[in-house]
Amino acid sequence: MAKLAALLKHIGATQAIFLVLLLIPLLGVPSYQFYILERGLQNVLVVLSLVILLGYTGQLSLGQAGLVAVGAYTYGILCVNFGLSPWLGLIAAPLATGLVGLILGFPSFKLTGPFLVVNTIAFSEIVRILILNNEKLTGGPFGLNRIPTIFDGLKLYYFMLVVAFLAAIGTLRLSRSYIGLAFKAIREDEIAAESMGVHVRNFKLLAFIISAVLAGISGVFFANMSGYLNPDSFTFNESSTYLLMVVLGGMSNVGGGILSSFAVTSLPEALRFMVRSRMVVYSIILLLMVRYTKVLEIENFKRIIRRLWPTPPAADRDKGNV
Amino acid sequence: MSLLTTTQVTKRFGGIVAVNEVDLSVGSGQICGLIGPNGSGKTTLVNVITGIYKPTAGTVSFDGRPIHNRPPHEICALGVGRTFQNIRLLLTQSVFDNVRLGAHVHTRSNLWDVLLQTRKLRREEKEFADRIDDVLEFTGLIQYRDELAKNLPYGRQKVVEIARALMARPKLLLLDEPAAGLNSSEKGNLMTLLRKIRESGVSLLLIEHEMAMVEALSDHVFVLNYGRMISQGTFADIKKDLAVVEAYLGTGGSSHA
Amino acid sequence: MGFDTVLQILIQGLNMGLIYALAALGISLIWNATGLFNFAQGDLLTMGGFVMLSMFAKWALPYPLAFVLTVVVMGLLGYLLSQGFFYPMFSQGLHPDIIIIGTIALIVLVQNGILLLWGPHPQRFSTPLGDHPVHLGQIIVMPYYLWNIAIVVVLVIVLQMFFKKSMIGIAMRAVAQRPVAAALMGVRTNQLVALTFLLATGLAAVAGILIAPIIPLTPEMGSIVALKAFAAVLIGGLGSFAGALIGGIVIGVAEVVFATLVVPTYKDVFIFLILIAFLLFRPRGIFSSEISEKV
Repeated sequence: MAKLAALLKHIGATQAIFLVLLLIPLLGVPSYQFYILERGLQNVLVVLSLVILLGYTGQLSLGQAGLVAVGAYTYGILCVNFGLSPWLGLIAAPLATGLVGLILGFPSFKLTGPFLVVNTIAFSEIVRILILNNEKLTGGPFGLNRIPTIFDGLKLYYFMLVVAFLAAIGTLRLSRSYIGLAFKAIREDEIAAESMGVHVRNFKLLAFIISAVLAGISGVFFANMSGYLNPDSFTFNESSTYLLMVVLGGMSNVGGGILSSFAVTSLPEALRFMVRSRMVVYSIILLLMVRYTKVLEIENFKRIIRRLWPTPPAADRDKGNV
Repeated sequence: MSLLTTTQVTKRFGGIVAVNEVDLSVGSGQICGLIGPNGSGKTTLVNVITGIYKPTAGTVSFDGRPIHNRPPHEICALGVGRTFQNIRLLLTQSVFDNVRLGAHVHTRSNLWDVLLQTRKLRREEKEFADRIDDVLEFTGLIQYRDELAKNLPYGRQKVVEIARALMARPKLLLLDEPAAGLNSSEKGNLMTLLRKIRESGVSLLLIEHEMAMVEALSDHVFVLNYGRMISQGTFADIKKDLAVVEAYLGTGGSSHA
Repeated sequence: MGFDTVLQILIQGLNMGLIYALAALGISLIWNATGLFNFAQGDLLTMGGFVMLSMFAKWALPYPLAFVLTVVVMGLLGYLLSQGFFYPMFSQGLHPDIIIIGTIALIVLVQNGILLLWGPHPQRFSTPLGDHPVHLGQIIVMPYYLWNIAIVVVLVIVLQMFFKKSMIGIAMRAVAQRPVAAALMGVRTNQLVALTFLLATGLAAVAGILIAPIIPLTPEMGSIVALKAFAAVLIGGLGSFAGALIGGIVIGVAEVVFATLVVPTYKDVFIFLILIAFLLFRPRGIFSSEISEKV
């Protein structure tokens, strides 16, 4: 056990998770379970987007489904209606989503807490309705069909894995940098942050843009996995599920977020109806967690974890190591 | 040459005039005191100077430049640092990281440097780390380097705020009641620290109720009451000024808030 | 545009608007008592509709009995939610964002619970008055329009009397305006908050019962209704009784106007844009003149 812990400490919890993900398909996984695994991976990107936006910067957004939709449909429309190559779509869609994220960021200057949440929910709904009602462009309720993919099958999985891994590493690097510190300062005390020289508005926009780009990439992956898009996949239901994942994972914890993405998406489901009761279970867990936050002070868990995996001394960090 | 000058600064909140036509100046290398009963507008004045509030009337200039129209982050970059009356640290982060925030204004790396962990970033982080250690030594906090800010005793947290402000290399440091809540030995350490800071070339504007400290440190003292400047001069001067005595006797105030 | 068309629009708008007003009222009440935003109001509304569906349509209880039972059951649920969940969080002084997350978790629970219990397909029931449109001259009126309006009017009158005349009502207003003084006067805050939730959930249930004949019930409709109720709250001014009513009516009428005069498919987008506009520019509502600065 101690050897395992030492190994984990050496390569990092996040890297360990990705190593496992690398190996699983090689063990041979039935196709439905494989699809679920892929979905978990696709959701990792959205969870990362919320780790940055909510966990680090403290901006509570329930509009991620709308951003994923923008990424997915931009990719789909460019490839199907305009014949763009899927690789170009992969570049263009996250950029477009980033732009939308920028727009979504401006209200955050004035709005906090419930007002910001309502704003993001409204935004996401507007996106969905726009998609639903522009049949010529988006296929409307009939969906967008026969979307060309970058890769298929196992190749797609490993491609997504690499991208997700890079995104996770990027997020960790962001967290330990001056940008991450500025984000966290904004979350904890905007006025102090501003007084210490942080351009709060610009950094909020940055958080929204980065978050949107990640969600956009996730959207592209979603389009690639099924080759088909439908506005019913991008509702408040999805947005709240993403929120559930990031909170269950520890809000600003990358490894936890990744694990909980798979836990919520991919845990084996024997029967169809299990999907719904699984959400009931998860939401109850979250309710209890929130209700008993003070009792469950994360500090207690952190103490346990620190004993198993002590953080490297700060000197290592300063030398610029990941 | 005056480093900071406020000219007829007034700040209204609805019907309340919190700061009323205040003229104040702090010269290079000075330690100035800002005293007055609770509610006399001292913190509001500092908030106007640092850009958190826009003055309803009047101007503020720093280092020859008008700053009353600028946002707080720009004013910080120009060289005005501050601490807060109620501690505003990032309690969930370490002392090291809290002080690191002070260096934000001097950071040259950008997002790509961070994502790619370029040599530029690593070099900058190493330089900052060294400087942070210097500042922590200077303020006597080095042993708390990796401790979470919320685990520190109140008195040390106040010093962390000072360290954070120093990290930005300010020309002027505004301190809002740094001695409040400190015991006598901590107060002594604070006085020594403030003198060290002045010797290093930083001017200070000190809001305080601790009269002994104000007397011992200040070259010049400003007295506010109900938003107005009612007296200024050396500590001896204002002590004699009856208006000051009246203000303090009137509110039953003494050297503590 | 003929007078008849205008009247038609007004009646339809008033009908939906009053339902929105009920939901908005619940939100305002809870906000007044605790400063919390109960996002789940929309889903509690939906749940009320479904419970009524079971009682009236499935178990064939008489309409008035089913109505009352539903409201009582939902009110009780609101009371329990307050005591077990909302009030403890509120009194612990948790960060408001955490409480919002908890509320979202509640929404997920309710939506999925509804899905489990009643299935994903839209369902509706009709009132005993039937579904035959009544023709008043050129205007077409559904029989339950008048029923809806009557119910809401009665409710509003009863509530007004409750708040102005009864001890509990006055106590609730005291807690809203001066929580500390109220506590010192011996008012049991947790009971009052629980009562507020009971009332708000009851109102949501009534709204759900009234909405079902008009818009078929689906598990996910809660969020959309909640957004419109929020728009109503913002227009009328957060925390204002009359404001919730006026805001609800405005939203209801605006919705119908837009659907009739512009294009029906985007009527929700129109309302949401109004919501966003108020969020950004006039969060305190049309009637508020105070924009205070916090020192």
